[in-house]
Amino acid sequence: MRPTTRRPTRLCSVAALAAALVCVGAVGPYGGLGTAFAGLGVLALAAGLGVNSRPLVTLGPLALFVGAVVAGARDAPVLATLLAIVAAVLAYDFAATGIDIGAQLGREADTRRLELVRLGTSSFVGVATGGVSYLVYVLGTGGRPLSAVVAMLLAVIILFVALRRQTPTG
Amino acid sequence: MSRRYYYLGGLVLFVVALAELFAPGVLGLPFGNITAGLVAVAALLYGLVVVQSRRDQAVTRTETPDVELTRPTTVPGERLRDVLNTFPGVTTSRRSDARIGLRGAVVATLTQYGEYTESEAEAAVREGTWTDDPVAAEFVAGVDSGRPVRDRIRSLLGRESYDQHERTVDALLGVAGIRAEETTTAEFPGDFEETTVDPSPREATGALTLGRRRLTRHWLGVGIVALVCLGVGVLTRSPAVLLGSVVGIGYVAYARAHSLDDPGLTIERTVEDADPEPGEEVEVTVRITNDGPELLADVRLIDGVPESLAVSEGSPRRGTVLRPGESETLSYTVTATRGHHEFGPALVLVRNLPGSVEREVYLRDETTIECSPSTRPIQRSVPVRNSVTGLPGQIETETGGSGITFQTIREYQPGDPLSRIDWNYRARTGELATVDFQQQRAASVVVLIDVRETAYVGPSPDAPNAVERSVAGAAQVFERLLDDGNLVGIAAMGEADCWLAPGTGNAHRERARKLFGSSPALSPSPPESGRTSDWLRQLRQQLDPGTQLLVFSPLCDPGTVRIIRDLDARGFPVTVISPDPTGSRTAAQKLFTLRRRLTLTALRRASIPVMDWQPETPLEALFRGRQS
Repeated sequence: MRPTTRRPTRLCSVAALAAALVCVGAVGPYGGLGTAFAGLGVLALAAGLGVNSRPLVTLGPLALFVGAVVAGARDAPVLATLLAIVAAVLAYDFAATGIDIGAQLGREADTRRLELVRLGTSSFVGVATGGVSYLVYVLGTGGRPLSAVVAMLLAVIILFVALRRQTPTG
Repeated sequence: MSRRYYYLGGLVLFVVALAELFAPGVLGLPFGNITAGLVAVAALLYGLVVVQSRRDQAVTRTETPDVELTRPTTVPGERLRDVLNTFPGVTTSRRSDARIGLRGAVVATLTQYGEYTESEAEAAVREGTWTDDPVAAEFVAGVDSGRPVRDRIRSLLGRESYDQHERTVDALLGVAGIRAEETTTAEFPGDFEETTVDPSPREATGALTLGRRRLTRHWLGVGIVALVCLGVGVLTRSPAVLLGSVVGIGYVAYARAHSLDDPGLTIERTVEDADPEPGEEVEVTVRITNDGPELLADVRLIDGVPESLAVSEGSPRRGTVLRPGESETLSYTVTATRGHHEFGPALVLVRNLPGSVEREVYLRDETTIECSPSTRPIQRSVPVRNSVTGLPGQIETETGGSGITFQTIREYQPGDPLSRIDWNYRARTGELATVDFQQQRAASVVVLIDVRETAYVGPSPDAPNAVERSVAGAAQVFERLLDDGNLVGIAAMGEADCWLAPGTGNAHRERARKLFGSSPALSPSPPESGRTSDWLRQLRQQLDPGTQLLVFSPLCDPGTVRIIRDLDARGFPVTVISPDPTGSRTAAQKLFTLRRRLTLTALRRASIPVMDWQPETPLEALFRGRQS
């Protein structure tokens, strides 16, 4: 008779750390503040998985994301920046999923199939959206007029407000 | 309604942006650098709103019960105040009253044990002569107005120290002659998550009950990725960051794209052996099937293992994915223990693909394990009282007659059997004399087991509770009493439905085994619904005059004394066997030990035999030297 080990599942934890390392790897070569943020993010994420803390595994990837944005703003290539952003989101998703499954089912239960599907679909969404935006970048004309970007920005904000009025999930 | 306009406006702008992107200047948009900067700042501010909402609304998930574990045994004496209130003449309400309560407890104990009258006890408390411990003496004496002001203020502020309580309780145990030893029982590992049955089922169709539906908020705040990327991207003119917003939008859309329909699920549960011996490992196999038309991308199953059974191998939990029509099987092993164990509904948590919505589902498949131990009779005869029936048996009575043990020689009376005439006496004196033996008679005994809520307690969280020990002991005693030719029956204190009238014979023995093994009334864990309150009246009606009662009770409820004395006075001689459920980790637990000891003493003063049954002691040892 032993109680359930309600800790983050191993598969998800490993995947989350791997995603975080990918983020650091993509941002790392461009140095400076971005790398520092990303490094902090990995540490926070690892600590969060270690002590089973949902706030830490949220803050860690947030730091990773900030690192990616800083690096992108400081002339990191588009592909590396996109990769880092996707990896940061995935690091959060994997870690939070691992904590949830760990809390509800524990480490003793067989959860491999569930985890693999979750890891797969989330990664797919990231790769697909990242790919689409990279495609837009490659296909777009060299000029990238500011007016287009601003219009896009307004469109997104308006859509966001609309979505948030619907349900508080996004 | 307004949402639709937002959507429309957003979409139009999006198309415009795309047009501008691929054919710059065609539409002649009036957006310059200043507008861009303002909008970017707006995006970042809105990002703050999103972050704030994330901070306000914590992530939710359904907590799952600890089905693997058996419910930990409650150790009596959880709060000092509650124990104090059970002492005669003590009522406390606030925390600062503990001193007054303890004083009452001291007086009650002194009058019971120390040969004090009530006024002498009061005086001893005032003068502090009742104990050698100056701290305890001063603490209890301090109730009077004569104590220092500083002390009174401390008491008013509720600042009595825990140490003072502890010392006083230890001193009290000293008065009562109870050794205050520290037990080294291990704490229960981790917290126990109660097994819950859905409090408000929304829809129940057959075996499936739909529970709560909730948003997990797993993806709440992912919009920050889009907004920050847009704002920073525009402000810094960085295409790389700007493009990152597409990723953010992608995840927001993903989180909302999938709704969650009511799932169609069934389970089928089989147990390898529904009627095992105690200690046997029983394999439980659960098969869950997706009967619905939809793919269930996230299925988390927690089987409803009975609270009274522990999982010994494998896990009753599974996380999986179920395509329409697909099933999955999991199996685990439980260790059988005595009793009637009913499986609860399996809890299934279904989430949609992104994991943003969660639905509780309860799946029922009636399954029970009934474990009736075959009990070996106790090796010593049971010390029952001297109330017998007319039937021959093993209990030696005061009345002379035929039997085995010599009692006396008396003058011959016509009609005495020839076999009992003392021929040696006749040869010596020439007169007839008759030998009287102690007559051996059978008794009619009802074993009465305390199953009230207060009896589900034990000395440590992992020890068996008093009801478990009572039932195990009662089963042994029952066998022996039956072997000795007595009429034996069974009843439960606190539950009218559990009744087996005194009887003999093998069919009766079999019925009793069934009852001990699997009667829900004698369940190893406390009942969820209340017991019938009318059990006492019904019991008195069912008992034949002169029937003895062998009561198994931990005597945790001081009111038990009244019940037992009442039964005894109505001509049902009572013997009490009391499994000791007391722990000694805290002051409150120690005080409870003392309170129970007072209860025992009160019963003994009423000439009712009480045997205090310690946890490690076999019943044989308890009965040694107690033969009546």
